Amino acid sequence: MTRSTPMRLKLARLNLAALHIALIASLGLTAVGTIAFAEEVKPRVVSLGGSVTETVVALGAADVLVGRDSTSNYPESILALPDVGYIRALSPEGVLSLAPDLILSEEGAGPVEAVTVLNDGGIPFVTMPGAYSAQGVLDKIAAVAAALHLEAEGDALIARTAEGFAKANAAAEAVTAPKSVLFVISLQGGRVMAGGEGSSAAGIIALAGGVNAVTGFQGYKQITDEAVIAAAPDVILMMDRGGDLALSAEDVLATPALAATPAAKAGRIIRMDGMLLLGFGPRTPDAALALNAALYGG
Amino acid sequence: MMLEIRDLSVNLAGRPVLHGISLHAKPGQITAIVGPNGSGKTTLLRAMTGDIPYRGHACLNGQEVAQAQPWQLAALRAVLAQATELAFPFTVEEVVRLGLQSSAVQAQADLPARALALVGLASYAPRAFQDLSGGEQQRAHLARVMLQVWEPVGADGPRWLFLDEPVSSLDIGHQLMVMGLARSFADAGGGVVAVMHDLNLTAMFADQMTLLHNGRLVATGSPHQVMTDETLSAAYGCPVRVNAAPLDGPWLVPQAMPVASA
Amino acid sequence: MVMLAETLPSQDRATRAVRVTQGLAVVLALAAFASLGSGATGVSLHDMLDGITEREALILWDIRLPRLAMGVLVGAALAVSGALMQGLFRNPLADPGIVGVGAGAGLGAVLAIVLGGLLPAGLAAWLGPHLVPFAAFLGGWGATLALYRLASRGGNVSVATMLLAGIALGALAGAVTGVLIYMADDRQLRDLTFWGMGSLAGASWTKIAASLPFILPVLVLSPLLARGLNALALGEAQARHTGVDTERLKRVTILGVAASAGAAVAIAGGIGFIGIVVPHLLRLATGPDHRFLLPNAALLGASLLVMADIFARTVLAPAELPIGIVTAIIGAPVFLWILLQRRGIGGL
Repeated sequence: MTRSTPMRLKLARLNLAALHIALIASLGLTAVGTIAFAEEVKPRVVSLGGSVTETVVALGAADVLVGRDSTSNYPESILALPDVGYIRALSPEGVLSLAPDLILSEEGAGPVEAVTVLNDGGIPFVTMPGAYSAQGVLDKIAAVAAALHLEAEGDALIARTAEGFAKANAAAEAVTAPKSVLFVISLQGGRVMAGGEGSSAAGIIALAGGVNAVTGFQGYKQITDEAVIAAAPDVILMMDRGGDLALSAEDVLATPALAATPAAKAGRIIRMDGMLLLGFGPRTPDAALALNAALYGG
Repeated sequence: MMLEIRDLSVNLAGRPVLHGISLHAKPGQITAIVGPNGSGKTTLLRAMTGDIPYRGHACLNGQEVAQAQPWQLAALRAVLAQATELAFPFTVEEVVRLGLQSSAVQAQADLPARALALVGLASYAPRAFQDLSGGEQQRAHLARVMLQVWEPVGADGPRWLFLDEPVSSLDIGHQLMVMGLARSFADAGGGVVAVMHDLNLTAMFADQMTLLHNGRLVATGSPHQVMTDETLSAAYGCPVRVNAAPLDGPWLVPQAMPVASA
Repeated sequence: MVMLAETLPSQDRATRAVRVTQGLAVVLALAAFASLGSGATGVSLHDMLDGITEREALILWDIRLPRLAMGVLVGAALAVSGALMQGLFRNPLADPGIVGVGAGAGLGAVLAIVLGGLLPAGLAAWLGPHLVPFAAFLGGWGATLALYRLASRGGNVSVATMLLAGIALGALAGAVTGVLIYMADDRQLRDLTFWGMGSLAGASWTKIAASLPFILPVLVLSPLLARGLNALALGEAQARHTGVDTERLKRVTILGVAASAGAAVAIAGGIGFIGIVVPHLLRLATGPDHRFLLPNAALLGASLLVMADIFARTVLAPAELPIGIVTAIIGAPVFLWILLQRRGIGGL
């Protein structure tokens, strides 16, 4: 056609050009923003797992936290942070909605697809080592500090924590007659679920100078009534808080197998805060000392 | 082209139920199968319709029933069962439509309505099937069955109606209507095989009848030939007196009271 | 000849069913838009119109779109499987679990979660995170095939036997699951619980690609079974008399349900009520004709699950409610309502 292009078409071309400009501009601004981000603005960190959250706070970096998971409950101040749910059932978009720059996590976050998506989104997902021992705690602190580029604070915290472990170790070594401890994590339906070898409960019991009353299985499993009686623990240890996991002395006495143990008969039932006891974070030396005191007095 | 049964035997659960039955049914005729309870009438029908295995031969329009596919048989014959369940709340029209098989027939959208009119249920189409009385439901099923073999004679031979006690839940008016439909179907060239309880209706409408007793064929022929006092009394185990009424009226075959012996 | 009515009654029902189909298609489209436009991050489609950032692209392509696709596939698969099972067993209370898919898939998942560590390292590495869905799928198939063999004799499948054998198999699966639960440790128990409640959070293009060949053919081809299933309402013998090859119908339907429901449960975990409630609602609205019931079930099932997912991932943001809980919260009252409605009608 030799006629001049109609007005409609001109407008359409203009719109397209405007769109292109807007697109380039917004991409450019984002790029600039990102660079500015890294230099001036504080990182936004989501922390998954109670011990990791505690460590971040203990390093003095609580103000970088923008989100936590449902197992993080110490200290009280972080309870105000948005809760992304159970660490093994994360919602990828939920985590993304907090616009994190970094995600710190205990072992075992899931589902795998959610972690993958977050990684693909360019958000570093750092998993901390988590051995149930004194060295494990120190390694965890070191890893968190490294991820946050807070090496100096990290070293200080490691030193303080190592000192605490030394005290706990001394108390443990001073024990002449170790007591056997049965850790009961749940009594659902009258069935005893106890901590076996390699469990976090076994770890803290060892640090406190006690002996795990039940052996022969890994992790937390249901054990038979006869195994409970055969274990004949001197002390029964349980968690103090935690909704349906909160067990009382009455619950213990109501369970025949437990009631028959030397521990129950002597009334030697100890309850301590679950996260403190089993979290294997910076408070673990305190937990070990407290458990030691509860076991052996003094 | 006919229904040919040769030396047919059937065992059910290890028990012999039919022994060596042989009979012919021709198109253009109503062939009735009668006999006392437990004589094997329904079993014979089930063998003919391909529902149960048999020994011997059952050939429909030259095709061995046991070797035919369901769709092949459905193109040749339609079966009205004694009682039919309905698992879901279809309307009367939807039930009748289930009789439509080939797409050629389906193209004529008014056929279900015509079939319903034939059985006197013209206005029943939109109603819920389960709301109908037993007799009405049976007639609706008949409409479905007739729809399946709408043309009494097809390109490849006559079509067949197999009826299993088709009038059992109907009043006498509707009984005559249904048998009249079977008569029209046969007169138009189709074949009808009906398992009958009612000897009166058999006498009125059947061209050929076959009497079964204890799984065996004891008599076959026209009603005149088969329905004699001796034959029927022997088969049904009770005294029977056959009356020949005037040809222009209904025949009645009342049961005779036992004569007190002196 | 009798004068005909102007509009045939079945045409009314058919017209209504077609309108419902069109309506449901619109509902699904709207739900899909809503799904793509909502989420914990608050990013909306409108935002993306101004030029899509990398973050928004990630949210759209890697999170919301796979979830939408998975919701559509799983919702449609469960609803259609439910309709097929109800038609096959001639019972409006049937659901896909009847052929053992649910029990078998659950058992497979439990085996994978609790005993997964016993697999040779190479196999475990190759399967990676797909171990549980893979095992669940195998479990569903295994259970269905076992049931099929049990209920078949001489090429004929007895649906009554299948029903009873399904109950027995379900009990057996439950027992084995119980043993495994006893052996499980704390973390495995939690994983099991979450699997049982179902979730679309693990949606990925891999899962969609893996399940598509099992779900899509069943969705697309199931209307071919419609006329046979309609006739089956008369009983197997009568259906055969009208020309339906009932043995082939049973075989194909059972295999189709095993494939689609099995794949759906394998990738999304235990999601209930869609299989029972959706066909029921549709039967009340447009009648039991499977030619309309099956496609409508697919559309309604997909819409419901997509909407349930929107709710599940926004109501507790940034956390997420397992979707099985949402379908139960909606489905149970609806189911009760249906039962109350039908109290006056003879039989279910």
